[in-house]
Amino acid sequence: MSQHKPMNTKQNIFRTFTFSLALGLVTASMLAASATTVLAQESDNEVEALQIAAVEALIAAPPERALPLARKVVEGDFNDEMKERALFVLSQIREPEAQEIILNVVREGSGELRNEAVRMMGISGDPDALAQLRGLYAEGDEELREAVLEAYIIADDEDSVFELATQTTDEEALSQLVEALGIMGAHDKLRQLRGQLSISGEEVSEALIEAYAIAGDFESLREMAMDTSNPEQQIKAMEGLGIIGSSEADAALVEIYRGTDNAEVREAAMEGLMISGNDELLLELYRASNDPAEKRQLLEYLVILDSDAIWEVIDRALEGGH
Amino acid sequence: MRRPALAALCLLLAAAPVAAAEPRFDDDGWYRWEVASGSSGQNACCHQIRNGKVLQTGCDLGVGINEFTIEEDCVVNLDAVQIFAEVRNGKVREIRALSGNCPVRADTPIRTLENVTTAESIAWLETQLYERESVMEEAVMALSLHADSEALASLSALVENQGLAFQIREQALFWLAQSGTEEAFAYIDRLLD
Repeated sequence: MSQHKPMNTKQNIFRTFTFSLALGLVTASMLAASATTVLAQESDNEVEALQIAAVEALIAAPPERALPLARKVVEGDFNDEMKERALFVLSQIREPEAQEIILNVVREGSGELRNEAVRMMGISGDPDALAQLRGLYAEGDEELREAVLEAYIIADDEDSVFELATQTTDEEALSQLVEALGIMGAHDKLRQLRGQLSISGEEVSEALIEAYAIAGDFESLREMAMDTSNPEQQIKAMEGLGIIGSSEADAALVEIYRGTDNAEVREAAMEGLMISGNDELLLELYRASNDPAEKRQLLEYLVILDSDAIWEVIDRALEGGH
Repeated sequence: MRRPALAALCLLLAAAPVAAAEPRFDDDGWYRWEVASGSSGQNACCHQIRNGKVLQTGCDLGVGINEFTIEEDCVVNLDAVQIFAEVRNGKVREIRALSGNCPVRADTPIRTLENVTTAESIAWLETQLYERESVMEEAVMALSLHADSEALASLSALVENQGLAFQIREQALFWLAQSGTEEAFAYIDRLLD
């Protein structure tokens, strides 16, 4: 390396730039022409893999450069895998033109590519695009509706899902919308929805309770678990409290257990504690219980939980205690 | 200059063999050289950023590339890119490419190699594309920070080189797109034909 004539950095850079200028004029035009020639020598799989890599690389590119190339892929004769990647590139470009290209695929496309375009509208988070999805949901088939819901979950658009939930008259669709609100942790919207549902049914009720559990809405579940007017709903709500698994949810389960003589409700409370994994409280209930059948049940829960408390129970039994 | 004469000069320059002497590393340790940078190489440095404010600029050699960022607002040098290579037990273990004025710290002295041309630098980096995975990837990135036309020529050659690991060809495409130059996108455009 040090065998060259000494030259300082500026001279070195100047020399390089002079050469670059001349070389660049030639290479720029030659390179563009060479790309396809070389790819022609590769197998179809390799060409496709390189083209996919090229589209993925557009993510790192300035938007004004990436957009025309992504459009070329989406609107061109490429397979769905390529187009899906190009759609993702477009979803990251905050330009109306990019959103318009995605929307065109949603309007005119079909199958999985159309559904992917819908999800990309969610990823983009563009409010106008999200508003347009409501109409698609109403008109779409089951797959499209699922894609729209996924888009709303990705965009965390509680308002749109809530609006759809208040409008739908289909029990299955309502259950899915409620589940989506649960995934989004939309406590307030779920509570609001409970009073505004235009339809009801076991499926909806279950979905609502599951959504409260997923969203961690202790207050709503506690209220339903305390409500003795609908035993089925009450038991389901106790399961939800177990899923929440917080100390206040566990305390509510113990409170319900102690406040009722209904064997089914007591069992649901114990199951809730098992779901929560609270072996300390299960052991406490075991010690306090005088019902052999219930004690056996509590012991089973402790075994299922693989709790160390079970050894304490065995030691006490061997010592002659209970 | 009249157009035919310019064209002739361009062809002459393009056809002229480039004397590419490989850098020689006689001992273990860090080596450094400097060449002209392209548009991607103008702001390559390490920045510690907290709450949108740059607290510290500068890279530590030998600690990986954890804090390396290319920040549009942190132009370090418009002219040059520094290439660093660490040799251990006679083998290249790490390559770093940073903007000219990016402050660099190392636990051991850094030996500067004078008069390395862009062609030599590129030729040497291209020899590292068959080494360890991390070195290969660092080499591709370093290539991309060289002067635009040379970087474009080198990266596009990597894309088309069927003898290279596919991930290196992918990396070359990534850095081509990152360059943002018209020529790079014309090339990618043709790839998609």
